[in-house]
Amino acid sequence: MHKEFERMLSNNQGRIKYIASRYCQHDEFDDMYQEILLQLWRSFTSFKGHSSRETWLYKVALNTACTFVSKSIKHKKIKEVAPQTTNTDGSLGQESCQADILNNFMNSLNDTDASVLMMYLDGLSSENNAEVIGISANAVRVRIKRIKDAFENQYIGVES
Amino acid sequence: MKLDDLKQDWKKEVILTEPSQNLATITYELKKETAKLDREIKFRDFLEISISLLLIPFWGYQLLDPASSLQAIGLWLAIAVGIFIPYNIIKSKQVSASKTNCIRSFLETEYLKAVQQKQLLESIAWWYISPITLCIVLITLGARVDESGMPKINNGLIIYYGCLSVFVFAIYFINQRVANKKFTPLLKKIKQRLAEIND
Repeated sequence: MHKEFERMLSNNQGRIKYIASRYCQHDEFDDMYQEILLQLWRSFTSFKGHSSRETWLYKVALNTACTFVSKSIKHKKIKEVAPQTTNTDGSLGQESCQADILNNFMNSLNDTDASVLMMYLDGLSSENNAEVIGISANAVRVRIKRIKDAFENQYIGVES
Repeated sequence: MKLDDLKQDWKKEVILTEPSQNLATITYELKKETAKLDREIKFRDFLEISISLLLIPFWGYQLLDPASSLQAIGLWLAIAVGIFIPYNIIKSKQVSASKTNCIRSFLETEYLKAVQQKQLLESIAWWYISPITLCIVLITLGARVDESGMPKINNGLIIYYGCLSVFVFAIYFINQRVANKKFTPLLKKIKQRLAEIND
């Protein structure tokens, strides 16, 4: 089970870190990240494969992030070995600029829309997205359309 | 630029992030931490419940030869309180939310749970502090009754009750503070997320 969990962690570390950084203040990142890892570990054994691994991961990570109350968790030992915040390679240029656009736009959304957008960008279908949030697939599509419009208004203006 | 163009950036930024090299250590620490947390939760539950329950035989033994009827009333009340307190704590913990549920149902259950726990802390005066204080007062007063059946209050007892009052108020205010500090922001956060989902 350890190996399987490590593989899952290895494939999803970026997602987990992104969720942790999106749903907390910078100084709370470590606590949030550790709490998400802990909850993933706790529910890993109960994952029965009824949904995809990504859907399961998003459910656990977003549910943990939703109810995270800072300073209530002190998992010092994990903190010592857990990696720090996301990409620190310092790469600049256009890529960084586009990444900034992604981050800025994500931060301008409310938490639910941000969750929907994350899963959309990650390639999850509207049905899977709906399964994670608990709304209908149609409602997800409407939200995505609204998010797309907001993005286009914000970054390229309304096209005539 | 369209929103779909961000999918490439998402891949670069998030999916292709280099995994850290210490995954085995993280997993090992997670396992250790989970076991530690489980032990702590079990110990806390055991402590909360056993303190009340373990005192019941003691009160029962005292009841075999009470100093007065006032003390006997206090002891009977202490036994009832010893049963009621663990019952109330267990009842408040019955709502449990699974993190593998969808966000909406998880939040709804979590909201109910937080409301129950907040109410439990806010109402601690009537279900925990008042009955225990009343038991202590009745048992101690009952131990000091004279032949006429009236309790004799001396300076020692007054100082004792004074300290007890300070202690009782401290417990009350600490619990009110925890209820506000821990649960008010949590409830606000959950309510806001639910409103967003229903939007």
